[in-house]
Amino acid sequence: MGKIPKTSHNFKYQAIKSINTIQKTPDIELLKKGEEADIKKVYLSYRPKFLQWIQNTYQVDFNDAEDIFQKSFLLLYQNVRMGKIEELQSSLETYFYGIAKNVLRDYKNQKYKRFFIFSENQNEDQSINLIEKTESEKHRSEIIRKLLTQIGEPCRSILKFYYFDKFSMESIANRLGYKNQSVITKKKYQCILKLRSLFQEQNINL
Amino acid sequence: MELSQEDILQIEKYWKKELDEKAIQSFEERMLSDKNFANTVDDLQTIFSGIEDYGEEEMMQKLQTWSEEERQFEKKKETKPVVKQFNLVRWVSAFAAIGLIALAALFLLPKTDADEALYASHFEPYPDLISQRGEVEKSQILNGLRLYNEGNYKAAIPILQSENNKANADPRLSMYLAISYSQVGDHKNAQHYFDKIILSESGNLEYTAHWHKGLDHLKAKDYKNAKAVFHSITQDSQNPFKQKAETILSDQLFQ
Repeated sequence: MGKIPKTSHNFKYQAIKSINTIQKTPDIELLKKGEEADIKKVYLSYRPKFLQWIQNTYQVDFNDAEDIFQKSFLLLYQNVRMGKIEELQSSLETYFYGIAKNVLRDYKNQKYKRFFIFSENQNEDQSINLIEKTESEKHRSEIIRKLLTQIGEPCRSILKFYYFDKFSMESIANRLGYKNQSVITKKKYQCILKLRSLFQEQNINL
Repeated sequence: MELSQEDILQIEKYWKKELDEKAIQSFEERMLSDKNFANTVDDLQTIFSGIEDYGEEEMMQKLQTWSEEERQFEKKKETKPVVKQFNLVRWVSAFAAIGLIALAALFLLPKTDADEALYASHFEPYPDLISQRGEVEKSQILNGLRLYNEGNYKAAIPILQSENNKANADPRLSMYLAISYSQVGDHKNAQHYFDKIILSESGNLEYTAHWHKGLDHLKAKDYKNAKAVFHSITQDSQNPFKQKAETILSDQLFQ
C-alpha cells in the first residue's frame, strides 16, 4: 500500500462506477441535498438493520459494529457528495453494505486507519485499499485543522462547505444567508489567503 | 508569491485531478522552474486536504452524537412504564382545546409582531465612535453622524454615502450607512454594505457587520437567511455576538 500522492485527491474515495441502469433512490437525493436533517434521516434509517446484520453475520461486538457503521456512512456520504454515485446497479443501501464489508475487512485485519481508497475500475464487492499518510503530512493536516478552529466565521463554514461537503457557491451562499453568490466567491478567496498566511506563520514558528 | 483567484482555481483543479494531460504537463513544468510556485502548490494542497480532514472529523462527531441520541432513545423506550388505558374522549377534548388555542394564537399573535419585537429587543445602532472620540473635524461626516445619532436615517444616508464614496474613507462609514439603509427599509443596499465590510474588514467590525446582517434579514422578514447568518455566528467561538445569536435563535420564530 503506497503513500497517497498529494495530487490523487480524486482517488481518495473513488467510488464504484457501474455501467448499466440508472437507479436514483430517494436516499441519494437526500444525501445530495446535503441538509443535516436529511442526512440524519438516512443515517438513522440504515442503522438498526445494519447493526443487527453485522453483529449476527460477522460476530462483531456492538461498539465495533457502531464504529464500522459510522465510518462506512462517512464514505457513502463523501462518494455521493463527490458525484461518484450517479449510476448504481443496486439500491443505495446495497451499495452501502458493499462499502461496509470493505471497512469491516480492513477493520478485522487491524489495518484500519482514517483514510481509504477505492481503486479505480472496481466493482461493488471489491476492496478498498488503505492509504497511509506520512507523519509530516499528518502533522501539517493537524495544523490546518487547528487553524480552522481559529479562523472564525464565515471562513470556517465557507471552506468546510466547499472542500469537504462539495457544495456549490450558490448553495453555500444560501446556507450562510448571503443573497449574492459573488460575495461568497470573494470571501472564499480571502479565507484561503488568510489560512495560508496563518499556516506559513505556524511553519516558521516550528 | 502573490496568489490570484485564478492561481487558486488552477491549483484546486490540479489537486482534484481535473486538468487534462497537456495542462498537467505545463503546470508541472511551471512547478519545476518556479520554486515559489511549487511551494505555494504544496501549501495549498496541504490546506485543501486539511480542510477535508477537518470536515471528516466534524462529520464523524455528528454521526457519533446521532447514534448516542438514538441509543438513549432506545434505552428510554425499554424502561418506559406500561401506558395507561387509552381514553379516547379525553384525548379528543384535549386535542380540540389545543387546536383552538393554536388557532387563536395564529390570529391574535401574528408573526410580524413577534419578529418586530424580537428585532427591537436585539437592535442597537452601531455607536458613533467617530464623533465621540473627536476623530475627525470634517463637518460633513459629523453632520451625517449627528443625523444618524438622532435616528434621522433618511437624511443621514446621502451625506454618509457621499463621504463613504471618497477615497480612503473610514470603513466604519459603511457600517453607519448599512444600518441607516436597513432602518429605512432599503435592505438591498443594507446587505450590500454589510457584505462590503465582511469582505474588506476583519475583527470586530466584521463581526458587527455579520450580526447586523442577520438583524437586517430579520427586519426584512427573511427568516431563512436571518437564521442562516445567526447560526453561522454561533459556530464561531471567538465571535463576541455568539451568545446574542444563540439567544435570538432560541426564539420561537426560528423554531
